[in-house]
Amino acid sequence: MTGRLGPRDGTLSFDLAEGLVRLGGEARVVLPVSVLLPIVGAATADVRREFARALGESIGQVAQIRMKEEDFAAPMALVDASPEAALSELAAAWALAGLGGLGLERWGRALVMTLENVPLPRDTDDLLEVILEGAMDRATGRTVHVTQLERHRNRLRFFVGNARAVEKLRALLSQNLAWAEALSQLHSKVGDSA
Amino acid sequence: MSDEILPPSSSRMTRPGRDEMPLDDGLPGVIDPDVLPGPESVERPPASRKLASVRAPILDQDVEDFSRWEIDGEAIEPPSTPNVGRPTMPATDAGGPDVIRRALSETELVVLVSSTRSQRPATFGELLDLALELGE
Repeated sequence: MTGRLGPRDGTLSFDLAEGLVRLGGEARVVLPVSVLLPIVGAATADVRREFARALGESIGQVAQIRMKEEDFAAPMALVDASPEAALSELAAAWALAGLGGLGLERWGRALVMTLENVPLPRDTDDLLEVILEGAMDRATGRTVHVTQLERHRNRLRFFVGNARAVEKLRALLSQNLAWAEALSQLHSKVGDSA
Repeated sequence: MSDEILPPSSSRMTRPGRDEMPLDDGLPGVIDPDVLPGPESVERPPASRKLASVRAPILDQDVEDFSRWEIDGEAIEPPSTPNVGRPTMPATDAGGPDVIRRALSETELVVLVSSTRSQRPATFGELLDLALELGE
C-alpha cells in the first residue's frame, strides 16, 4: 500500500467553506449535549443501545483508521500495536467524539478502561458501557463485554472481559463488594477452576 | 590680521581645569568627582583627606607558604613569575589540535534480557486476549 496525500480520515476536519465536519470518512454533526440528552432519554432501551453501539463502532473505526494512518507503507492493526500505541489511537478517537479522556489500567490480568471528564450525566453510564463495547469490538475485531466498576467524582472505571466474567463481576458487585475485591475474586475463581 | 576669523563673542570658551576634564570624572556643579568611585585599579584616598589609605597585603598567618615546603630534603623554589596565562598546547603542523571523536558503535553493546518479559504481553491484542480469558 502506498501513502496518500491530503486530509486524513482519522482527523476531525472542519470545512468552513462547505460547512461540513468530517471524521472517519463520513460527515458528522456537532450537537450540544443539552440537545442530545433529551433525545437519548426519550428513546427506548433498545434504541438507546443501538445508538450507543453505533457511536462506539464509529469511534472504533476511527481508532483503526488512525492506527493505519500512522504508517501508510506498513499499516498496522490496533491489536498488533503496543498497548501504549493502541491506547493512544483509541483515546484520540474517543476524544474526537467529545466523550472525555480514555485511559487503560491492568489489574492483574483484568483490563480496566478509565474515563475522565465525561460530559454526560450519571444516568447515562449504561450508554458508556455499550459505547465502549462497540469501540473495542470494531477497533480490535474481538468480541468484548463491558461493565462499569465505579464512578468516583470525575472518573469512571469499566471492566473489559468476556461475557462470563462480566456476568460474574456484576453478581459480585451486586453483593456490595468493592470493585477491587470483586476483581480479585475473579482472578481467584480462575485459579480455583484450574 | 583682519583676515583672521574670530569666534563670535558668545562662543563657548574652554575653561582650563574644567573643560579639559574627562566626561566621566564628573559634571561641574552637579557631581563632585572626588566622591565618585574611581576605577577599581585606582585606590582613592578617603574623602576626609585626613588619613592616607594604606593597603597592606592580607595574609592569613595560619597558612604556611607552601611554595617553600621541603620535599625529601630539597627545598623547592617558587617560580619567579607566576604563570597566569592559559595553558598552551604544543603547536602542531596544522596549527590546531587533533580532535579524535568517539565513534558510535554499530553493534549492540548491551542486550537486556528480562525474566519477566515473557509475562508481559507485547501487543495490545495479546493483552486483550489475556483479559478475555479471565473468568472462563
